[in-house]
Amino acid sequence: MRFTQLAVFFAAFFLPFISAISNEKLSKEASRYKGIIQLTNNNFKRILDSKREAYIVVLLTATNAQVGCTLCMELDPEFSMMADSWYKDHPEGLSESGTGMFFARADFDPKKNSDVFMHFKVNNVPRLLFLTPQGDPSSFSQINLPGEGGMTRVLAIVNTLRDATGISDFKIYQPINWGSVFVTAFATAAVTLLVKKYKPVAAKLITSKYVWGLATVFVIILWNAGYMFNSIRGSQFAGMTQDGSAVIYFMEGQQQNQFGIETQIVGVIYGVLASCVAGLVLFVPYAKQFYATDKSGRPTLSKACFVEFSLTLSFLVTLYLVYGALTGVFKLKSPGYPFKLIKFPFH
Amino acid sequence: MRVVGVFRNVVRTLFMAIAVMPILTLVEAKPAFGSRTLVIYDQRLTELDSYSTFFNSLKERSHELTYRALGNDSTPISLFRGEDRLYDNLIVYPVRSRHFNKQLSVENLLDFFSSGGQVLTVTSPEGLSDNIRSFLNQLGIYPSPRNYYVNDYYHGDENNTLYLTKGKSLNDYVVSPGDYNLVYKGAAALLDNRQLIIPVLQAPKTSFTLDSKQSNEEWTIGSEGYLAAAFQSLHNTRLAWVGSEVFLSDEFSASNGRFAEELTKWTFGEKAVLKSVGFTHHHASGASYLESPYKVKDSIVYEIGFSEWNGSSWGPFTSDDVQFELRMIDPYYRITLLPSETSSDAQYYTTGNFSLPDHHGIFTFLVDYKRAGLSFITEKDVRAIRHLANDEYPRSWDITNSWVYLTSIYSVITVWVLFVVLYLSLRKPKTVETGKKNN
Amino acid sequence: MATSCTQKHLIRWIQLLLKCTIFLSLTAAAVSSRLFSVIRFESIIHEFDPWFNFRATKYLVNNGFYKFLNWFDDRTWYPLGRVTGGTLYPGLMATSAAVWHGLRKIGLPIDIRNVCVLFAPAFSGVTAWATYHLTSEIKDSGAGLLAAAFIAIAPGYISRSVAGSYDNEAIAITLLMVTFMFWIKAMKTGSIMHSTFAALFYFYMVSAWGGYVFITNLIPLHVFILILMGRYSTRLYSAYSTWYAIGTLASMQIPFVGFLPIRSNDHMAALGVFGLMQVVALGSYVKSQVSWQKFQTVMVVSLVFLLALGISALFALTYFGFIAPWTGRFYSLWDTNYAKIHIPIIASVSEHQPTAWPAFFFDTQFLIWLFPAGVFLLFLDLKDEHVFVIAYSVLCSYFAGVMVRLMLTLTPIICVCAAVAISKLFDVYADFSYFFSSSSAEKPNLSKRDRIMTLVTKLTVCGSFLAYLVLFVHHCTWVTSNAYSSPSVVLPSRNPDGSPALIDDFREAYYWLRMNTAEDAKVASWWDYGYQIGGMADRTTLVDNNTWNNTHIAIVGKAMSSPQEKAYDILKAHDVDYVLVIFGGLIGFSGDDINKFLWMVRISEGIWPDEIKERDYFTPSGEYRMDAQASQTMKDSLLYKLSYHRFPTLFNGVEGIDRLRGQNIRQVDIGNLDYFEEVFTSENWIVRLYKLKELDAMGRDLHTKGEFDRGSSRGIKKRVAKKPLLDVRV
Repeated sequence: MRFTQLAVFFAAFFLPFISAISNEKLSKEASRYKGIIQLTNNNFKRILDSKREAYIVVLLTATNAQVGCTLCMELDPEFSMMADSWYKDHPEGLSESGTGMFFARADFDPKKNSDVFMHFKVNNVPRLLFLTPQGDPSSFSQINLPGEGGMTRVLAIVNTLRDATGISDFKIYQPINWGSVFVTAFATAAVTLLVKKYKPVAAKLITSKYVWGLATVFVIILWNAGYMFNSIRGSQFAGMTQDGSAVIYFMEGQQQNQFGIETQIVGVIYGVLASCVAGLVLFVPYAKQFYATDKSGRPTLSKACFVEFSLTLSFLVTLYLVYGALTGVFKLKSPGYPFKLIKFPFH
Repeated sequence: MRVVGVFRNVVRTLFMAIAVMPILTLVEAKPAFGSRTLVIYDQRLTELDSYSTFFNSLKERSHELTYRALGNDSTPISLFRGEDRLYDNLIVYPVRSRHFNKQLSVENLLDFFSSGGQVLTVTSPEGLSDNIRSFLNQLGIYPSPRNYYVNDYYHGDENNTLYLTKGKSLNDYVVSPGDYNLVYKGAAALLDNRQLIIPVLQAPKTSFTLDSKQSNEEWTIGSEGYLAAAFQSLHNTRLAWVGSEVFLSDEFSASNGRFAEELTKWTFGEKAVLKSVGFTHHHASGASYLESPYKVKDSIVYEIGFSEWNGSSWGPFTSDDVQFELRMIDPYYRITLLPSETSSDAQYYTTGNFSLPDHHGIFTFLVDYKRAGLSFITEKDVRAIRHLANDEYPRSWDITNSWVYLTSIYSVITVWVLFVVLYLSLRKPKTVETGKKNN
Repeated sequence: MATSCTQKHLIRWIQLLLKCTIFLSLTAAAVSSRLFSVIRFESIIHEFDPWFNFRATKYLVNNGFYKFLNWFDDRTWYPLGRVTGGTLYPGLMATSAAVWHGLRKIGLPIDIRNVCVLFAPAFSGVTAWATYHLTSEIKDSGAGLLAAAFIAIAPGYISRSVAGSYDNEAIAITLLMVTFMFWIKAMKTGSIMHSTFAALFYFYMVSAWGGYVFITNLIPLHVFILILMGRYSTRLYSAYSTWYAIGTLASMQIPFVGFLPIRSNDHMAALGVFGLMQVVALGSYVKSQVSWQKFQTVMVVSLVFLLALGISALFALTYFGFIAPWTGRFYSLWDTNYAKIHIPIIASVSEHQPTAWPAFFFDTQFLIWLFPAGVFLLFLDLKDEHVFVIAYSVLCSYFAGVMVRLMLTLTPIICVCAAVAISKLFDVYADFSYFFSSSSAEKPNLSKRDRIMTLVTKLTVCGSFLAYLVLFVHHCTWVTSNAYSSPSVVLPSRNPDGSPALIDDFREAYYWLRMNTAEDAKVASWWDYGYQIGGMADRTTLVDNNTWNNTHIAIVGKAMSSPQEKAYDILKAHDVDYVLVIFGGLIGFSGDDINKFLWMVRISEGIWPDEIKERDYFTPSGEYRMDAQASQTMKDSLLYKLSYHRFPTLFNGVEGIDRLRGQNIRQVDIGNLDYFEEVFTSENWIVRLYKLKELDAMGRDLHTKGEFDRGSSRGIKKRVAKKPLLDVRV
């Protein structure tokens, strides 16, 4: 009798200590996994236990290529970035105010962690879940994943976490992409060296009207062909037919929308058309002048005339064909457009 | 339709106030909103003769009583002809008749009440018809059902009769304060929390309401029950409910008479009736809004006049808790109005001069005087307060701080003019100099 | 000698006559192509903003300029009101009022509405004239005429200047071209007169359109580039200094602009370049006085010092709040994601969306590919004024790519550059003087074959380009008549038999409002319709297209996204009498409120993130649906109820088919409307008007009242008296 009482007493006294998982333990667990705790069938009950003192952010995902979850693959580095940024400032996982927060993750593997997914009753991945301290492990809230990826999403999630936890000192450190830094540094160094070495050439290039002119025209054509639309909307490069049998280059019948490749096609068309005009204005008279005299300086007018005639004609024909193509392409986008220059076989 | 009703009330009031008043001064009292009163009673429950004191009191107060007895016939009771109300006041005695529900529907009652008709409902444990019950329920008054009597071992007898030696009215406007010796036998009601309900008589703390035939759950316990309650709608139409028929009878008129009279006076608009005789607001200088629209920080006066119906004519209503609000979503000002002039029929109140806020916008000039037991008065006027026009700011030279800038501007101008003059006049030698240099 | 002189005179006269004829016909073409809308529909003000401008103009004409300038509008933004006189650009209204008064003076009393409707077409003629002069300065009068012809009919400009499109842009583009024309003249000659004119027209532009900031930045940019290219001259100095000083002082006289030119970052570039100009002037003076070496050191040291000082001052002043940071709209041009995240109200406007390539082609047709050619050709000459055109082209190409509405500012420069390209082409190929020249000495010995070949070359080039020009005219006419001539107040449609019909729901509803509601009734609607309600129905609105107060707009958004009882309280607190919703589900009108609903949610979420959450309005799988699968929050929202109220009764009473979204709407989801009552629904159900029910006189909440009324109308009465569950009476 006395013994059982004692046992009950001890049990009552020690039970919280046995079952609770303290911040230190979580921290130890986290450091064992170098940041993100990997949940498995064995450890998840222990880690998510109700007596825990810290917040836990859980990512349920499936990065296996066979699953084909693109969002999961996008989200993985972002999640790591968040976790790394957190542990960088707070190696113990505790904020300045003493609130703990830890990151855990389960990458779907039927053998290792199917129970985790069962526990959270998850049918879709990825899911970002959020558990409050002292909470029941079966009660959790889901964090919405913004559609836009990259830093936008990371910041949005971090904001949500800040609001939910009251932790104010959660900063995000973007990992430095050393590859691009090296490439940039190398390129800069190379360019500087080249400029140093060929100073007169470089100076000539920089002060050359043609270089500036071509660059300007290039930029103008790019923008007029809808480049900004692609970069703002992040348009798809090209589309697929419903059955996936063929690639679609043009978003037909949609004047307000476009694929990325349309900009390229239209840009090339504009470029060809503009160069035809420039050719007619600049190159043809130049060529005529060039052939007006032979090497010895005797006039060869009929040759010049012929050159002028043939060049002009070829420019005009190119212009006509390409312009015809342009109207054709436009007709694709705007089916009601009544004008056409060429009757296309495919229409 | 409601607008028509209100309009008619106004016209009637005016008509009475102006034309009929002098003739009727002989009469002791008169309802403010009309005196055509219909009394509906159940022949099987009510003997009209035993209420003669009550009816005489009504007649003395110039009510034109029409009686409608309910028996076995089921012809509908019409309260309206077309859209016009046939009666101004309605008294319903306890009714047991089954036909009554069809003769007078709840919707009819609600229409009558919301179109300006005043209602006194008297119910009793024997006579609580469904239409009256659901009508009262809609107003938030829940009388105890049939056969439920309010009882009290301390103040009552075995016949469920209560003797309230120190009955107190809960609202001084409805029944004037004082200790009343009241005899009550009947139902108690539960009241909900809406502010339009004015509890008048509370059941004693030791009371309870129980089914007399079978012991069931209590309907009310202690002071949660009420024996008489009043109700005033947002349109100032009034209703009173008493759960006891004998409360009004000749038998107890000696003790209950005064209480009942005051309650009916209130219900039929013979007292505690207020009206606004109109409001004005204008510049402190006397110019009206139309002459010069208000702008920020203008000095303004707001005035309003209140009248009270004293039973025979409109007289001034004096109070120290009338407030004026200047609102733009939220109140910017809340000013307690001070009495100013008093005329024979109205008391005028004023804010005195006050300065409009330094904030332009569309403001509501609002007096919302709502006191339980008195008629509600809402007067609102929406006016724009404009910003300062471009030429209403002080000029730069009026601001001492700007003198330093003014000085610098004008000195620069002066110096520049001087420079030009000097440059032009001293130009000759300079050209010679340059000529020398060139040489 | 005398004969040649008279001949020259004759030729000049003929040229003048020709020019006049060309201009007259250009103006005629410009005006007539903009009249499609009047002929198709009627003389009516279009769209949204023009309705406000029209109302303001009427106010100006009726009350005079002083009252207009100090107009406090108590019919919008209830109950805040709007200091309209101080928050609008008065140039447009002042001009049309002046036109109106002028016409009356000469005995032509015209209705102010007609002045407003025909304002934009009339000014397009002036634009053509200004473009002619500008292009003449860039190249020659031949190119000028071409550019004038292009701008007269280019759809990119017509889109904002058809008859009835009475908007700031209608006059602003004209002023833009005039200002630039004077600037080019001033910059070329250094004439103070011309640059004063440039400044005055800049002032006019400031008074007319917020887009004046474009000039404020483009001219300094031009000057800055010229200085960088080492093309500083005293001409440039006098032109820019005059322009900046007069222009800035003048622009500060517009109440809406006020002290912005010295306080906002949008204007800092102009100020900076002005300072730089003084430094450079000083430098060039010093340079002429001291030796080169000394000058170099002085120059480098002072430049570095000044640059550092200037930039740190700019940052410090911005940091301490003396200079306003970039305004949202302007900022969103640079950081294209900024608006999307931070200012949903800007991102919600369809005009602020990025431009897909078909829009460029649609608005300018073959000019779009002549444009880069023209720019390149200008690069070869690269005179000072060409630098201006190039800077303009690059800048505006970018802007037009980011925002659809800025296509408008790009169009003039496209016309100029394309005109330059074509004119250069014609300079080479349309020179037939050779064949008509009388003196044989000028004819070198060309064989007949060569001559024919040359002739054929020239003829084919000219011919094909003439054909393209003709095609351009057809294109412009087609685009104008098909795309840009709808007033959007009246919608064109087709009857079942294919005959054309008009959908006139908007005016029907606004007219109903005007005739059937109290004059001081307040109407709540989404802000898009604020100006129209003010202009056509003459009723007080809570929010309108002048989106100056985001919170107030969010209030309406919150009301629309809340359940009806909550919405009722919000609207009642703002004294609202009527709610107007646009519903396109019956006839498939795509611009309805449900399609804009997410913006309402987003904008109010920005203010009340705890109460409104965008996620709640989607189905669990993230779809935006209205049918049975819609989320409960969506079904409860006021907009849902108001849009679909009684909708299934048009079908079988159980389910209605939303033709716009192709979804079945169930009566059970719509439920009852207890707090609002339908007072008007237009013929095609596009406009639906609801009145807020009055508070129940008996003090019941309106839901209880509704339940009671429905119960009694169905004859259901409670027979059993049960003890009510009440809170303890306090």
